[in-house]
Amino acid sequence: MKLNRYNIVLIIVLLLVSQVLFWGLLFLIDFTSGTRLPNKGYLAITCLFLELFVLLVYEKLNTARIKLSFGRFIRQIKQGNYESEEEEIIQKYDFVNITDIQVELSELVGQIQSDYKEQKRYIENVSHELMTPISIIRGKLELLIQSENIEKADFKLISQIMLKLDRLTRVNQALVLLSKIDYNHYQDKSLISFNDILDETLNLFEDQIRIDELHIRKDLQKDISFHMNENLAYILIKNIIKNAVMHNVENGFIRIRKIENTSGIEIINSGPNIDVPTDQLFERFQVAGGYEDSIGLGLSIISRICEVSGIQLSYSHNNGEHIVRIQF
Amino acid sequence: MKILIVEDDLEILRTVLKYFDAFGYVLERAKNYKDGLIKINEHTYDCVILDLNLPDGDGIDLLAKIKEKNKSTGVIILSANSSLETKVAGLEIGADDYLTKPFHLSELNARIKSVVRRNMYEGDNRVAFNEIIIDTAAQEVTVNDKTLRLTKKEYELLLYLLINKNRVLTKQSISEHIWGDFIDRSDSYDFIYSHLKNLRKKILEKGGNDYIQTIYGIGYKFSEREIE
Repeated sequence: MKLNRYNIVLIIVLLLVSQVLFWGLLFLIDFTSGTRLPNKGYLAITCLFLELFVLLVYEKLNTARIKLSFGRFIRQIKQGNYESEEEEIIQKYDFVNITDIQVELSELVGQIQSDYKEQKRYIENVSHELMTPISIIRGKLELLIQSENIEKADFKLISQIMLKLDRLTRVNQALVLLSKIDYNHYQDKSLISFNDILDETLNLFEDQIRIDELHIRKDLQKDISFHMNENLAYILIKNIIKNAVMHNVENGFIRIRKIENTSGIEIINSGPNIDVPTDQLFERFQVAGGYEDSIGLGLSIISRICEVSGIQLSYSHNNGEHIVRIQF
Repeated sequence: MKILIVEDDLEILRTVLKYFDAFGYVLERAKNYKDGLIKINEHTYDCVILDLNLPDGDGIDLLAKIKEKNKSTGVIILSANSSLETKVAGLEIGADDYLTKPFHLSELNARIKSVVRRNMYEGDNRVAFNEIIIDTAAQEVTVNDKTLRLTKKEYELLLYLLINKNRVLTKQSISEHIWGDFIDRSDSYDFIYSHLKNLRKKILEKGGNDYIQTIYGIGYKFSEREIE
């Protein structure tokens, strides 16, 4: 129990009420029996001390219980047992002792931070280490297809292997990128003009745009600029435009325009409805629809870049229109 | 053409050597910094393929030594690190090009050819295959001495095919060469097909032969047609 003003008032009121009741009881006994009990004052004071003692014992027991349950909580976390749901742990151990919690929690947070860094470093190392063997497999396959004696059916097998190898490469590259973003690898910031980046990116996708007969309308009267890392800005826009092109329909459209009354860009594209809930879309390896080629990391990259750059990202869709907004 | 490859991974070394065997290059290898240093002091190379992560020394240091000795030796950095800044840093310290693992051997070949062409003072800017001649300095193509009008992508595609003539090129390597590693949808294979169709048509119109062969499921090959 914390000794705050509310609790002190509560205790005093309780004691006063119990004294009033006590005296009332004594007078009632006097009245009904017709005699006068001696030493009422001593009795009252003894009673008061008894009450205080009971309160004290209760408080001590309560603190012990808190410490015990908190200790269990900390031990469970230190052992790294995160299997049970987070909410459940907190509900089960309803502790309130502030100083203990502060000490234990700061240790705990330190531990989590170092685990997190360790994990990121691990992902990056693994991904890097994988690039050399992938390179060798790809090279050997390239040597193999030069051979004169390969049957048509074998070409098909080799081509399937190559496709999967490409996918492996892309997953790896995306994971390295994500862990680099998490590491604050891209720290240098400058004023980035989004008009130029958008033009360059649209140019990159001109073949897809032409073949799918997409109608592009870019409508930024004034250049929109924002202070952020240049590489991240390019990667962000490329991923957004890529999604708008990929998840589009034939003869569809992409509209790029300034968000009214605020600094930001809105990218709207036509496209089939998606079967994944909006809030899950930005999770890693979440692939909407039947897009087999997609590795499901593009949206994670978009949302991570926005987070570290202080950009507000939102996505919505209705009636075959997909809207991505980035607000600075 | 004399090429040195400095790479500590023996399998990569072997694969590259085997692939380039067919091109008639003179290839030498070094598996670490020490070997590399001895080689570059003793010989002059047209091109050095350099892995930056060597077990016994810094590849960047070696790069400086190569350029000190002979400025016109082209250096292509090979690295497992794909980040943009590393690329920029590599080029800033004097490398001519930068290739990220995993790479396509046909792409490495194209890079070598381009680096060597650029670095030679009075180099031969012509890439030819029978009646088809590409002047890489003027970016012009002639077929039977008649000028061929090509789009930028058709030109790049033709040059890539010609440089890797007689070799099977995968669709992936072509796609990466023309569009970079960003466009990865298998649709880009349709784009290759449509660009090649136009290219073929234009060459035939000028009286050229059709050397573009489709290799089932895999990609394309630019070579004389075998008599069936």
